[in-house]
Amino acid sequence: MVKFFSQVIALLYFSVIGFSQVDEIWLDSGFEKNDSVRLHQPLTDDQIKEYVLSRYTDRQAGLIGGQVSSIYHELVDSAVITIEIEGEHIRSIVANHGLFSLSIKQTHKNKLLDVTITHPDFHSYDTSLVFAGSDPVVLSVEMTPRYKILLRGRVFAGNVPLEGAGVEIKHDGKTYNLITRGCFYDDEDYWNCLFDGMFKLELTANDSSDSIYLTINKEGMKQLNTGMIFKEYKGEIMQLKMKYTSKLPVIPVNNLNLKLAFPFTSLDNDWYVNLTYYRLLNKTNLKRFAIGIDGNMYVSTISVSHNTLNGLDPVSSDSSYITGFIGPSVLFWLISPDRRKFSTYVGCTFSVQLNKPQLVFQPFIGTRFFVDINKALSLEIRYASYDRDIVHYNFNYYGNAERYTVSKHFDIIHLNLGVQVVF
Amino acid sequence: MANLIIKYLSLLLFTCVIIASCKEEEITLNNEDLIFSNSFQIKIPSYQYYDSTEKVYSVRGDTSFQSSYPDTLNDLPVIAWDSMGLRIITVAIFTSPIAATNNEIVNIEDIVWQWHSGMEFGEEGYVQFSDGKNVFEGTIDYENDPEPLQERMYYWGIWAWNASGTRLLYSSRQLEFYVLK
Repeated sequence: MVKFFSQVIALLYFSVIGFSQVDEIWLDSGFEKNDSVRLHQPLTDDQIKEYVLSRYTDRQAGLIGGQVSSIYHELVDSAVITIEIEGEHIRSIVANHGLFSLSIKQTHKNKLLDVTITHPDFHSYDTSLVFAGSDPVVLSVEMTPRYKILLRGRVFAGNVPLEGAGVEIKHDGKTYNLITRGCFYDDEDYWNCLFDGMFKLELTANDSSDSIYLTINKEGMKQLNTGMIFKEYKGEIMQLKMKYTSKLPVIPVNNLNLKLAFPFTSLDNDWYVNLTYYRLLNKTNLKRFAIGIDGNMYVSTISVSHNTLNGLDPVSSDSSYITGFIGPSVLFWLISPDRRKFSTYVGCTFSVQLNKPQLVFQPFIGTRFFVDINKALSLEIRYASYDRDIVHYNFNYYGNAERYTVSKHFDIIHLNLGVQVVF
Repeated sequence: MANLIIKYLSLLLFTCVIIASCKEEEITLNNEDLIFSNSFQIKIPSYQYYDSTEKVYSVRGDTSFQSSYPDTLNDLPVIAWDSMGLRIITVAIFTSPIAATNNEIVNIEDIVWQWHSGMEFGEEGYVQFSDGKNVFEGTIDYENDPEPLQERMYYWGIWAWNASGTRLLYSSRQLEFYVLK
């Protein structure tokens, strides 16, 4: 048993050792592992000298080598080192992880070398030296970074992020055109809306007082212009709210409505539910007419009074009635339907009552307000006149009350609130 | 904000449609021991009462079903039951067993005495014979005081309606007693 546990513990120990990994990046050739330094840390002067000497293999040629770092003591990768003599280009090289070395022919001995180090994120660095030719030249250059920002913003229509909006950014004579992002399936196959309506752009400037101009465009929205000075941007995600134009970009043809009236918006304390569909007649002469189908119902609570036992006061009995109607409907837009606010309409529905065979005429007038690009709220006043059978009771001393119906006429006016979806 | 309003309105409309489509569920009961099987029980406890000569009469109430002999009462019996606060309620004494079909009593002509909550005297839960009225051929005689019962077997029961008086919703067991003069 002891042997078994010893084996298990040993196995675990070696597993841990085997799977342990130090996350380090070592510099490339020229250095032994013992002499290594972390990638982001600049070398000391001795280490730079050691590195350059390690590259000095061809004794027939001279060598210039060294390190490029920033004033913040970070290595600058991919800086371009260019050497010219009397305006003539001699050699160029790209620094690898901040380190570089290049050989110079002995024919350039005792000549003045112009060394230029450039990087898009840093101010250029120029220096000159006389190439002695004998020993390697060791350079340690510290570059001053240019101003750099990651300009980020999210475009909204109201409170809804707006994808597909065109963002034009002007800076330093250059124009950048971007499109705001939408939701997407990420690498883990999740529907990711984290960046919905967002854009970003990295900008670099020599002068922190540079101006940045943003112009945002989207169909159906007013153009949004904004701007700032480079140094004003603090790195936050800008909230850019666009406003709708007063007219819809396209006149909607189809219109789906769901309307509701509450007891307090009805003269008869009725509930009312309505579902309608309209299609605009897209003809030149009839472009303000829409036809559709209208299904609606009233939910009414009717109270009837009747006598019970001799000597007791009359009692009332409440019953709920659902009266349904369905039929064709026609609608005329008094104010053009492409307006976002106060598109007013009149219309009427020629409906059949579902409870009893009766044709009912329901005139109405209403208006609507768009809340976004394709959804609107509507307010409508509607009248309906119909008959329906109401249940009354005869009290029975020896059993359930006897039911009988009496036809009653209803004239109903109500105000309903609706939600519209246009497409 | 607008989208939030739209969402809440849609939810409200949907709820309203669902509520509107709901129908009140009919209560179905199955109390076979009661006068009306489709009703809730009015309980009759055992009780005693005194006549004018201070003689005691006992009514066994719902427990009398456990024996095969009836209670023996005087000709002016007192009727009592557990009050349930019912507004529309009646008690009747029959000369033959109570017959009810489809929630309605069919042998109305057998009723000889009746009290109901619309009468001037008596209260729900305790009624003296003098509080009620005689019934002739199914018609209550509101004009005259009730005549004492004859010596014979009688059957009695209580039933009551819902608040609107449209549905018979409560009833007791049918009880019986023998009047001995």
